[in-house]
Amino acid sequence: MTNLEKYTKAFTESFEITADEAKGLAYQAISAWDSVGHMDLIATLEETFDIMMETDDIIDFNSYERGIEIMRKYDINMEE
Amino acid sequence: MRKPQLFCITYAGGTADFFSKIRDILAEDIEVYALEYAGHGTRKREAFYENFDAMAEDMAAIIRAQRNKEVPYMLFGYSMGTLVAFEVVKRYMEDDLPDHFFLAAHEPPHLSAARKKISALSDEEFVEEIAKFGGIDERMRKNKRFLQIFLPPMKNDYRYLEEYKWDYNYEKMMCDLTCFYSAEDTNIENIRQWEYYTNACVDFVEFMGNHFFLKGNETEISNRIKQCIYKEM
Repeated sequence: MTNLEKYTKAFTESFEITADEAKGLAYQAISAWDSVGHMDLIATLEETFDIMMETDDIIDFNSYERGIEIMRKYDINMEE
Repeated sequence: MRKPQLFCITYAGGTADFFSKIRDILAEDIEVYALEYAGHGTRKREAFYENFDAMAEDMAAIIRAQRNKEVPYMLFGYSMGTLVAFEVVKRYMEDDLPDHFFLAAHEPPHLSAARKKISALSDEEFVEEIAKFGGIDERMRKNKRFLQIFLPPMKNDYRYLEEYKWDYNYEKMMCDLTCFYSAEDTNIENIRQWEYYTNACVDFVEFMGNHFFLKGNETEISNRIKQCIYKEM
């Protein structure tokens, strides 16, 4: 499984959505991605990639696509 | 035909997503605008307001910017959002009054001063207090790292509430009110005093549950809203 697939899986499992629904998703666009859902998603990603995200990144993580950019900051290869 | 508009203003520490299910349920019939306070949710990067007045002014500016005067509009305030919505109507919407005012989980303004002051408490004490009425998710409560992110806007909102002063100088509203409440959360005698704030009809709708009884009752609340809106049109 590629990192991008693992990343998408964090969304699908945290929010119970499909991979297609995850793409383009923005914070608060669905009821599952509320502040508690956000906490779950970040925790899942940190565990998946063995990283500890900075507070600024947790706040800025406001969409599926923005999250990919943030993952790259942590030297995670997000190529397909 | 354009749909009627519903502007929703959330509780202290809350974010616009609190109304997301209601927005989804009503989507076919009503344009729902869930307003976000500065420093919260999708506006997390913005500075907090200086005070309650600045918050009400900002909410009024957002409503006016989205307002289509060719269709009716309604306000829905939840908890602190009820007071904010009330002040928005009183101060900024005199020339464009709402057709209906929905309010939930909050006593009327003249009774608000009795609220316990908690914003200056330590983080631990503050969390303890809001947990008493279900104001914080248990998972969030246990996660100190996330608590540091989400606690400042909550404490700030409670400061606004504590500083809020009702000036006793108002004219009764001319729109119908619907008050959603839970007897477990708010004294019914207090809730009934919303009657003093309008010359129109007031309806009281009781739900079971704590302060956040909207959760789990979105369908019934949405149906009530829809019924009221069609009555107004």
